[in-house]
Amino acid sequence: MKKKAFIVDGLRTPFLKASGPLSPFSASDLAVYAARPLFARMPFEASEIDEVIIGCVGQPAAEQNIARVIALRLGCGKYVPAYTVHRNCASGLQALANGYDAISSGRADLILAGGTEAMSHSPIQYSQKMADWFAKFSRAKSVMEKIKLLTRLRLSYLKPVITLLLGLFDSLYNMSMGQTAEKVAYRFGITRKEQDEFALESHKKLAAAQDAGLLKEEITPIFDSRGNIYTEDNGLRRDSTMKGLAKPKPAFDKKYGTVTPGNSSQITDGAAMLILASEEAVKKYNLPVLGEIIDYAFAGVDPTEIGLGPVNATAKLLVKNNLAMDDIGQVELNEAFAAQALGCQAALESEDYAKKELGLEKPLGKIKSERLNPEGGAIAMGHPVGASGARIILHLARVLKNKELGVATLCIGGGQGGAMLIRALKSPTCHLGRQVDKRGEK
Amino acid sequence: MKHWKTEIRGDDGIIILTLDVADRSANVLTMEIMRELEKIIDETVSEECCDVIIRSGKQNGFIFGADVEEFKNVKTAEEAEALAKYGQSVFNKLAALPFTSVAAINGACLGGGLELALACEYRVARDDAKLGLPEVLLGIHPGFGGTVRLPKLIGDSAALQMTLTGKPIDAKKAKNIGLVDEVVPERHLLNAAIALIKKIREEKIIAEKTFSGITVHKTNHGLESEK
Repeated sequence: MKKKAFIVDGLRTPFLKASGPLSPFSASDLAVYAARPLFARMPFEASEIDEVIIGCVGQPAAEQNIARVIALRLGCGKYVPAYTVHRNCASGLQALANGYDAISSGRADLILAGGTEAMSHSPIQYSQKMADWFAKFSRAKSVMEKIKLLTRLRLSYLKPVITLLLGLFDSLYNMSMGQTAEKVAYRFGITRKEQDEFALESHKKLAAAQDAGLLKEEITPIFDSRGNIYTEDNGLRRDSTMKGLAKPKPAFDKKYGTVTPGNSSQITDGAAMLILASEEAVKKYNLPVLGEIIDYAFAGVDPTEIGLGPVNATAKLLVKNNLAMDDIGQVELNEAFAAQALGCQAALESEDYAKKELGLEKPLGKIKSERLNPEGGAIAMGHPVGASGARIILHLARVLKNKELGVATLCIGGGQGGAMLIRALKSPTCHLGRQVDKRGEK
Repeated sequence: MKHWKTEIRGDDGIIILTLDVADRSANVLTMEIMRELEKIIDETVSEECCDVIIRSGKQNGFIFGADVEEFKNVKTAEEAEALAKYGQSVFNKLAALPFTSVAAINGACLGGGLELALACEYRVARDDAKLGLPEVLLGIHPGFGGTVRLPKLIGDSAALQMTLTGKPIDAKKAKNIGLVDEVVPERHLLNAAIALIKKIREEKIIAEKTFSGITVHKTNHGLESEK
């Protein structure tokens, strides 16, 4: 029999948009700053964790297997193993899925799982030609040979290669992620105006959630070495209007496209970390509980229509668990692009899509708009690719009412979708997870 | 109409003619289809007085050419001439329209299909489109005006190469030699056609303001020179 896997607690950094000067936080910084206060309020030591699992898409060259770097920096000690997972935009969700598997199969009792991404730190490379030249130059023995090689150096070799853009491009199908969103928009006839409206709504919802303090419990402030404090997601544009959103030109299909920087998710840095525990560990340490992971599913879709991945993954998940869309209290659907999120809604109520692509007699039905990302999404707060999956689970666990079901789902570059089903569990004693204070006990 | 679907866009009045040949998996041109097209030009287009987009309702291509089965019924030279003449007259009507016409080419655009596209003022093509006059390989002369309109559009040398070899060219090359005005992926084919029409409309307004008093005659891609 499968064991239960509980979400004990979780925290994330504010999501910081990657614009202007280089962010002071590396990917491991972000994860460490999110997890440190989390450990501080746990009744166990960091070294008592069974494993650390982190999702990260662009692992820094200097922090390979970044999960181990994070574990060591957090003081888990040399005996706690750690590994990093990569499933593009759902890496954070994958880390939680692995954590769930480890606990439900009885291999582990306490897991630190999450995701981190510092997109602003993604490296800029030399071109292949320049690298070849460097290789030849370093092998040249005589001064004459070196001079000869210098004459062969071309200015064009110095053109930088921006790896972030490479990562957002499907070289197999010669399409950028934005173009796959354009394709989804075309398939379901989604207009620029509809996309802009969706984007505006995302900003409005996040602004309202910030004002109501709905995100305070999940965000921990972080500080840089210059004493700047970051407390809130700073991608939010409170002054966003339809007029303003109509201004930017299409970013991917420049001439006739509808997907703009305004109605796409932002390039952002951030980390979200969660502690998962078995029933035994919850009892042993008298841990607070936010929710329970019930199941997850991943599904493949057309790589040129990656945006529809959540539909296939959610369908798989709900069918397997004998649930209807109406049973789900809240759905967090990662807003990679407004066109993509709207495309998912259209596909969810399309009979043709249900029959052809999901193998279902009837469509699952649209997600009720008040249940879909009610506190805003990645268009307003950003999409640090490795962290988003963990963020939406953390957020769901925080905002769902007691015993309510929630689904967190993302589209995944390369043509996949991931979805996770959780149930919120909130007894008054463990609400917020702050009742048990380590220092208070001692 | 059995094969053509007419749709008039609400906001800009552009007429979208979609050819979706009944009971066939791919679009080919038959006399019945030509007669329907003539009727549409005479009635709908003339009444609506608006710009036209011609496109295919089939995913697999624009128009694969004239119906070869129909050619088998042609017994005498006179019959063949009458057939060609009728085709020319319909396409001439299309070419002579005082409105902008755009062919939105989604894939194969061959033989009579290319000749139809040539009778339009502009052509936009899907990035995987193939355009050509392969009927010459069957010993059939492109008789619906293709041999006249093609050299006018792309020059004698390129036109000769296409007409003599019968080898279709891809969309990218078609753009380079001026056969099509724009190449876009499937998702923007209609957008490109509409944008082109709107651009022409704007240019016309500017031209009218600038050259008020001077009458600008639209050149009729007539076929008289073929004789």
